[in-house]
Amino acid sequence: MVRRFYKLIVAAAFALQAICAQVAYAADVCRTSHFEGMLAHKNRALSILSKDTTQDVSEAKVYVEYRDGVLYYQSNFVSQGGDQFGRPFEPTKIKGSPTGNAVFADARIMFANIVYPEPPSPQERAVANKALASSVQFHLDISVFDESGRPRVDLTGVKNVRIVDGSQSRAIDVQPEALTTAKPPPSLIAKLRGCCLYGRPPHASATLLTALANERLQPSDVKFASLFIDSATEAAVSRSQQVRSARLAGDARSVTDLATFSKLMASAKGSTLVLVGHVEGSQYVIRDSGNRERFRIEIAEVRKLARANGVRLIDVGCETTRAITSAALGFGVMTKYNSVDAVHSINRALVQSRNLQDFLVHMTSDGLKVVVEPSFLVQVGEKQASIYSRMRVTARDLWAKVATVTVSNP
Amino acid sequence: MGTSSGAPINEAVSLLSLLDPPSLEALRHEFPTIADELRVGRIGGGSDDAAMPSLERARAEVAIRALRAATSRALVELAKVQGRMRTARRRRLWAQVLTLACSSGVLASLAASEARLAIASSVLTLLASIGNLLADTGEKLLRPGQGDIYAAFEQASNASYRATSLADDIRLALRHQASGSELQALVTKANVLAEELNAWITQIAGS
Repeated sequence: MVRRFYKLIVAAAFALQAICAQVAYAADVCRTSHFEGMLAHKNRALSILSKDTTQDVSEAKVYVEYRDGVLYYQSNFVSQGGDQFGRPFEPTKIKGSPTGNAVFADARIMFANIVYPEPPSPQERAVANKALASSVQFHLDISVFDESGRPRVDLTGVKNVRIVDGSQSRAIDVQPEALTTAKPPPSLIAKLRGCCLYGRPPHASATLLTALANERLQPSDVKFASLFIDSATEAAVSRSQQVRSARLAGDARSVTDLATFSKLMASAKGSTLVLVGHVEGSQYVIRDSGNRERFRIEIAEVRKLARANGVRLIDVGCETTRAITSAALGFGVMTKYNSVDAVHSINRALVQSRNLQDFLVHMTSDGLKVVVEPSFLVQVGEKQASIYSRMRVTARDLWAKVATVTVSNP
Repeated sequence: MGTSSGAPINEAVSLLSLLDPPSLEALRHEFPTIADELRVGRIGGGSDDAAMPSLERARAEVAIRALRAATSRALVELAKVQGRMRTARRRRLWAQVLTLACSSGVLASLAASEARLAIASSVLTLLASIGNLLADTGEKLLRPGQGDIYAAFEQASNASYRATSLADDIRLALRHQASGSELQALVTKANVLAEELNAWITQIAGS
């Protein structure tokens, strides 16, 4: 009897040791077959990564998805060593809630945990980071993006990011680029059309393009206002017939307080307003030739006033993605730009465009890169512009061990 | 995005692009660190290191060249304005002479009851009026409400003097290694003056 019971126990233990029993061992990192109850996750990952494994860090691939509040990482990388029964490891998987522990949202820490069963030495960490910055492929499932189009994972330091739809077992044909925003983590964007029109999230590119094309745009309904006090900008406006005709009275030098600015916004009621201005911090600021400040207003306040007046606002301020603190950006531009170039671009766009997509494509250039997200189109009367900068990859010298490797005991 | 703590040079650059484009091009090669500022127009955002002393020195050089270019142009334009003032004065003098002559002619034609004399007087009156008209036109500026060439001449002379003086001040400050804030104040002043000179050149050149 005792012998039979012992045999039963041993059989059960061998069955269990093939999986990471999360209830019994609270595992976050798994180097056996799969996490208990997460076989579907594993299969989705395998449909993207294939079954080929590697022990070469530079050939590692990582699949990431987010379901029910949990981030799930699965790699094709097999760590050196094996479990306590002498069997070699299987490809590493990690799961965890980023709200419960922020390290689960850090791609570099996750990758270090994928590669090394124990906390790595500085040299090992450098090897992992170098691989991330060059060859490691991160396959991001579309579930990883939140409702504002921001990834739930901080991909700082990861060069090779691909977007996939794990549930459909397919890769999405976009080339994501990183973009630093005021609210971390850095966003991922993808080129929509032309040189300099981008969309966020990257997998929504096709939808965004269609939606922008469906937005009709009559040049006569477009208004222009400048928040610059500058002779060259004035001369550029005078020479640009379309911008000159679209220009609202009472901009630039005439704006001295909230009342005059509100009046300017009200004069654009019901139309599309392209507003160009100088940004400091999170505010538009008007300065004269002596650098004296004449007016200052929060970007958020400008957008609020536009909404209140039923104005579709395209506010072109420098690098506003780094200034806007809300999760949703609406519409933005990624670069520092020159006011005279902007006037010429807007004039060209007014001449050549009949819908919003054309307008944005013609308005953008290397010096004026624009990004849009679905909220720009969804919110009626709240189509906003802001200026982005490209992501600056910042080093983060941090190691946090997620959990110990967990395998079942016999 | 960023701060705006450096001295602005947008008006100085605009002035140079109008008056001396090759010099502006040379400055772009000479000071690549402020290349963005050496393009006409304003930048939609500032930079956090905009007030670095080395950048202020570069801006000071730009301001000096803009002021010098403006002074040279002002001398040319002032000579032209002076010419226009002389012409206007001459026309007005001839018109006055003709008016005087035709007044005498009218009296003479009345005394002599001579029709031909009366016609000659009328022609002289017409010529005098045309002379006055030409003198008035020569004295006006194209843009209404912006005064006459005498006021423009006075403003230009004043601006030219101030440009020369300010360029010298900045040159001295550079030579004596003035602090960043001192340079910044002088360059900012130069930018304000450049805006005035820009407006003046537009006014004079278009008239």
